[in-house]
Amino acid sequence: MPAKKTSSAEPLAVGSSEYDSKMYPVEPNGIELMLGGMFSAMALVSPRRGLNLYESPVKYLCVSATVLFGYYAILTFADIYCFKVSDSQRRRTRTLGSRFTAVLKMGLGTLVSAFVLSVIFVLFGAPIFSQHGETYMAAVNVSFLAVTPAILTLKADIGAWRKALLSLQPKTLPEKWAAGFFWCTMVTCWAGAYFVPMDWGRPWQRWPIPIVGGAFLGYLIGLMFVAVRCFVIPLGRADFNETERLKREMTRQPLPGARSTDQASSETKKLK
Amino acid sequence: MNSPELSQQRSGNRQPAATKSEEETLSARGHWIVSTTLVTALAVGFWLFSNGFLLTRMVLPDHSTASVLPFPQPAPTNSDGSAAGKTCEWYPAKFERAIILVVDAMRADFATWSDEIGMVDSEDRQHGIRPKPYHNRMPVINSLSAKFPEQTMLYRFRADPPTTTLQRLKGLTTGQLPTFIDAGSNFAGSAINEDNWLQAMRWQSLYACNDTGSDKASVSGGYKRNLVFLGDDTWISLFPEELSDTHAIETNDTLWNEQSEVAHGKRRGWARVRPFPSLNVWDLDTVDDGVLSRLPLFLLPPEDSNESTSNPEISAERKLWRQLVKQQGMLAHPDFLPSSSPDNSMSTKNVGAEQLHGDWDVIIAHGLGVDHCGHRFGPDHPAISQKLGQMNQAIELIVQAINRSDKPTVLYVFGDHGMDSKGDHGGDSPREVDAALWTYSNVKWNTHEAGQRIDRVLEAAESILGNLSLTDVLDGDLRSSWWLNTHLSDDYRLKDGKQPVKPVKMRSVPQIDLVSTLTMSLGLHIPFNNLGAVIPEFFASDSSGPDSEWGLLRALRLNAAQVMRYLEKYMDSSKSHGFSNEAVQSWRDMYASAETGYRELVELVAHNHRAHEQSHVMLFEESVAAQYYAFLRVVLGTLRQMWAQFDSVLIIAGLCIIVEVLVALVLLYLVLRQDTLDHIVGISWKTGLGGAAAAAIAARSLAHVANSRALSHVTQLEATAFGAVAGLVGAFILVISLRLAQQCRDEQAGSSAKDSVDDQGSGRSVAYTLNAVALVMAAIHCLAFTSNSFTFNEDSIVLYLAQTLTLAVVLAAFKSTRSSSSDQQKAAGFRALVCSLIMLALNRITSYSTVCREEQLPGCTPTFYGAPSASISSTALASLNGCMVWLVPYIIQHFLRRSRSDQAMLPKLWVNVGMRICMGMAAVYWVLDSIDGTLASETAASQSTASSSKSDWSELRLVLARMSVGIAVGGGFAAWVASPFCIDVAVTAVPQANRAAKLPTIQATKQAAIILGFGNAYGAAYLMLVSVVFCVLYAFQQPMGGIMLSLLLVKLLLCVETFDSLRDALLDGSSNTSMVPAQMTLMALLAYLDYFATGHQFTLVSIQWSTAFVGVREMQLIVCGAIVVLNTFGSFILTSLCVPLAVLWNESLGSQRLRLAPNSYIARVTGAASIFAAYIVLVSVSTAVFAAWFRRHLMVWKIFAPRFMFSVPVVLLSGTVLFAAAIGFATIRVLRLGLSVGNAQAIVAQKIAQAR
Repeated sequence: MPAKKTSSAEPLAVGSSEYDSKMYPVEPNGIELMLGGMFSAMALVSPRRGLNLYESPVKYLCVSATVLFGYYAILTFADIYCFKVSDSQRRRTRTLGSRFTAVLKMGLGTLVSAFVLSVIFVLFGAPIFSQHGETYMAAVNVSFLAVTPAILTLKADIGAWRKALLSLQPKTLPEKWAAGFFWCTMVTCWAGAYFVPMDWGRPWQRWPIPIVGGAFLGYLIGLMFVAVRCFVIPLGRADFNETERLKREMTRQPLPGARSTDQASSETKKLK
Repeated sequence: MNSPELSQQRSGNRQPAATKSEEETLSARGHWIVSTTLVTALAVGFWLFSNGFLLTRMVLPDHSTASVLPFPQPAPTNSDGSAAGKTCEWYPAKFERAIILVVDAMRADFATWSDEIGMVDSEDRQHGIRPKPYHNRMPVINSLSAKFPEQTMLYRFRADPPTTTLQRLKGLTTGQLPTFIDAGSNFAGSAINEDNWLQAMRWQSLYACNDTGSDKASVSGGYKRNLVFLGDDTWISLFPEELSDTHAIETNDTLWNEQSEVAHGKRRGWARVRPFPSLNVWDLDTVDDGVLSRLPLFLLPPEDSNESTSNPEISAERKLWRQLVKQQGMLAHPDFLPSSSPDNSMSTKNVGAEQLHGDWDVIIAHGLGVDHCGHRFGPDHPAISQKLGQMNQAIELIVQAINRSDKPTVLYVFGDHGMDSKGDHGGDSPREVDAALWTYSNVKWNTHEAGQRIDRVLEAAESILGNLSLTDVLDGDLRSSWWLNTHLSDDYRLKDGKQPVKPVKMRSVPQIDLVSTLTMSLGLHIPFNNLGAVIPEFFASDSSGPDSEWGLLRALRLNAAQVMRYLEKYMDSSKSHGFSNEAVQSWRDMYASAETGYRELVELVAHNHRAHEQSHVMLFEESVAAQYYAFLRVVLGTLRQMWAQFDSVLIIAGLCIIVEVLVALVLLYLVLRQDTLDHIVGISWKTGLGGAAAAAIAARSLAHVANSRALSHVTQLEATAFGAVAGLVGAFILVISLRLAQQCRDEQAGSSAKDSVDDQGSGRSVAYTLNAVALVMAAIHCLAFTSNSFTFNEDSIVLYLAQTLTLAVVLAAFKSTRSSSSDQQKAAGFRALVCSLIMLALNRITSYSTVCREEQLPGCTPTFYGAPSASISSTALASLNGCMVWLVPYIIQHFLRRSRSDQAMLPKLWVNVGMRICMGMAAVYWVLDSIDGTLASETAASQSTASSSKSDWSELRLVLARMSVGIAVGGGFAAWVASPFCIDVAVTAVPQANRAAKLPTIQATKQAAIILGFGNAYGAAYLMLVSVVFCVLYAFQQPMGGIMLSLLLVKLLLCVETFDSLRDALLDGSSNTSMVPAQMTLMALLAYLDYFATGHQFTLVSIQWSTAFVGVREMQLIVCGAIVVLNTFGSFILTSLCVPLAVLWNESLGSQRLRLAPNSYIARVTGAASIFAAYIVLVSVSTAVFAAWFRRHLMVWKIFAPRFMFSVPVVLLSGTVLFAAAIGFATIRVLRLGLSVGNAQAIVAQKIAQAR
């Protein structure tokens, strides 16, 4: 435990030289992986009566957006998304009011990104003069799945967004986190449009169901992808006892390759 | 064979490095050789593929003759019936005269009558249901059918697609099925060589029984046909010989008489032919008026004859006929003035007006008004009810004339095809296929008892067909002869599915059935190639032949024997006839069993003269007739499905060549990044020629072997062409891939030395990513043709792909705004971001304009003409098009402003003034056009008698269109050829000239001269040419098309600017990696997107034939064809022309890389062009592959084959424009002029002198 305390102080000093770790005060830990899977499955199924996806897609998407919002609100409010900050610090910064503000910010950010997304949908060929409700609610759903994880981890920093989403190899854990969800959801959502022009005449081919369905599928893929990339691979590569320290290391090293683990092991020896 | 080449290549390896040091001159030789080879290879590949893929049917030269029956004459019966003598007719003539009135595009439901529609009028208006303007407009058909049920019959007349008039006329005269390759030749009809009933009527040589029965022939008129043709001139292009007017012969030959006719081309009888132009779709009245004004000359006795003066009825009718003609000028024709100049009237000394009235035998009249009305206004327009009403009245008058005649006369009224809900035709949708046929005669030919027998025959035939094993070849219409007129009821269907109007039950016959029916009922022989069956009603009520057998049985037997003779002949004349053995066997079995039944019947009745009245004999006759009928239907169904004679050898050969060219293009791009074209040609020409020769010989001998074993029927020419081209391109690929491998090795060796310098890493990764995204887009575009729904939704898919790629560019630009180091780079990145965002928006706006394919229809609203069902642009749209006149030159100037090229003479004069005048005239043209169109449609709707076809503006429009193109070519292009550079010199008072660091200056004594437009000299000069070509293309686009073409030009400029800025921001111009593939993919996608936005789809129907008359007064094949091509493929032409801009843009006059190595610079341009060409070739390869793959698919002739057929001109046209015009002519000219140092100095010196 004391070793841990010192190590939590150390990255700050190191981080200030390479990059400002305060930029990323959060670090995801995996509970939300399970929660996310559960909630997205719930939103997808929504087994309530009188809520037919094919007949009233707007209503259905509203409900699923509400469920998603509830899920993210719980995450934000309970502060599960931010981790790896010392308990005292968290207690200091995360008062009840600031938590409400965080939820509010999250909702607002999602709505704005949904607006941008719906513009993109229209640019990609969604109807301009009709079905606005469908388009916007689809955008809200997609943006909850794709953009909100990034909003929660990256906050309002264009540079961080650019670094996380546009550099092809995101370096830190939050960047990987945001990029994993964003790209998986977006690519699958994009590919979901495959079903729109087919002449099968199925009810689920109506706009925007294939898009939203693709986004949910992509989010599930993203969950697995992020889980593997952020947790399984690092765990598999390191000694189990060193996990905590490696997680800290990951915040400043691109990939814990063979060289870095060697260094790390030598460092632990020195510490001992 | 390759080893000497290899060594030569290795030795040539150092060549570029060596030559780079010394001054090179620009050489276009390599470019021409390589590009000509590749484009020719593509053409050969497509030619081979088309030969194998598109339907081919052998045209047999045989003719039927009247004296030879199709089956061997039974000797004993002939000797018994000695009175028959030598047979001169297959079937005794039922009618002496026939009037064939073709009402183009008369759909099945136009002719039917439904009382319920009248009730709709009052009840269901609140449901938004109103009677359609085309229903219940021909009441005479209904009233006559009720009055004379035994003299009339109404049929649904089912056409074989493609439902174009030319194709239908071929089918209706020869009785054959259409082959697909003929579909496109509606523009230039060609004469029919096959046997047809017009030949049977006209050619004397076909009557071999002249010597024996000549007296009979002259008495009854059965063998001499005086023919009258009025109407659509498509007939003339199909039958130039048969329908040649004998007027000139009669007048010039003073001795003209019955005997001397024979000498003139062995024709019998006279002919009067009055064709009227058919292609001017805007003209609703001329053809109909021409027909209707001349029909009374034949139907009514001459005006000055006794009969007409004594009978008041006739003069009343004559008055009615005159009122039918809408353009009164038609009646002032010399035909109607008996005393006028004899050379232009119809009657001559030998054939006077009396003979014209009394002696005609067949009248063919073809009116186009209904069809043109559908094309122009759509069926849901009041004008169509007037045209149908006019036809209705005409039919009424014709029937009156027939009733007065004492000769048995038959009237056939039919549509050659229908029209779809927009009024167009050409495809195979039910509304296009279902026409109407109505017949009337003044004798009874369709008795009630015969009708019952026919019903029994049809039922029996239906049950025979139902028991057959080859059920898949018979579609429902051949299987059953009854049909519910669902078009009628569908038009009034309520939203809850209720049908206030019940469908009407009709008899259904294929169109080609007309051929045997018409010929046999007139006592002629059936054409040799006919595949149709006789329509039973015409023969069922009489008995004929030596044994007075049932008429229908005899007719069907003759018909079946004729078809069987044709089939045997066809199978004899080619080994690879493509019929399966089972099919042939089943035909023979069916025919044999029917013949056996017939022989039994003959034996049964041989000794019993009253046998035909006994009921069991009658039943037996019916069953035999049903067997013949079923045989005919099975043959027709099988041939309809199997006629396509795909030759897989040729298909694969063609595909091989196209794929080879594709590979060669991609490799060419890769290898040209470092090599020059001359070098490539130098190292590859020997191998290429050797390979070509060797492969040609090999392929030729292989084909010989394959042909002799009947594996294939590839001709020697095809085999040789394939071998030569495949060998040439293959050897070329081999050499350049070896060269490429060497380049890679050299590069590795070179890069290992300077490995550490890698500061362009991020830029390079962005470029790689963009290229990868572009590759994915290309792959998806290719795979879209695996599915029919993707193929007909290609417009939205292209939008999706283009937007994805553009968004990737936006993200790249966004990334570059921060990651680039210097301020200049950041500004470039920002510029790229803005440009690409604008492009994103413009792409979506572009995709708004569309004409919907028939398959897309429920989910698609056509927006191209402004209103969903119109086919004339709305005036508002045409005015909006006028805004482009200001916008496009402004934007061009805006793009030039950054390099300050806009101040030069050429942009000032041409872009600011000339281009605006030029585009303005075109825009005014289209405004006038739309005003004319709207006015015409209003007048057509409101007045019934006023002429609506010609307007006062037409001359002005002609002048405007011609001036517009003339200014562009004569002014803009000439100015560009004279001096393309946009360079000017500004003299500033600043003594320290070097303050403007970027602009090189020439020191004057106290003043400094700054060369304006120095930084983008080449790009600006090239852009001027693009703007000239744009003006020409703009003039031929409809208003919405003009807007979209303008947006395309803007987008292309944005694309060029975006990628140029992105290159500045990311790569700093030094790196070897480039974004050319991504850029070319984006440009190609833009071209496809705009193809759809300019009002086209990949279907034959969507070609805008009406633009053929922009600036042309009369139909000229080459000019009009060229205009239609410019209109259709305008987007591809413009985009291909813009391709060199991708390299030339922002190339300064003093560019070092250009001055030091001009040949490798040209190589870069060609490389970029080859990537662009590769994209388009890739798409066409994909269409070809999947068209061949789905060759048995239901939709192949509707979706996949047209898509492939359109991709061929796209590839060849853009390839030619790209390699010949854009690079071979324009780029090389610009570069040569710029490179000659004296020239540049002269320009500058001249400008300075002017400035002072």
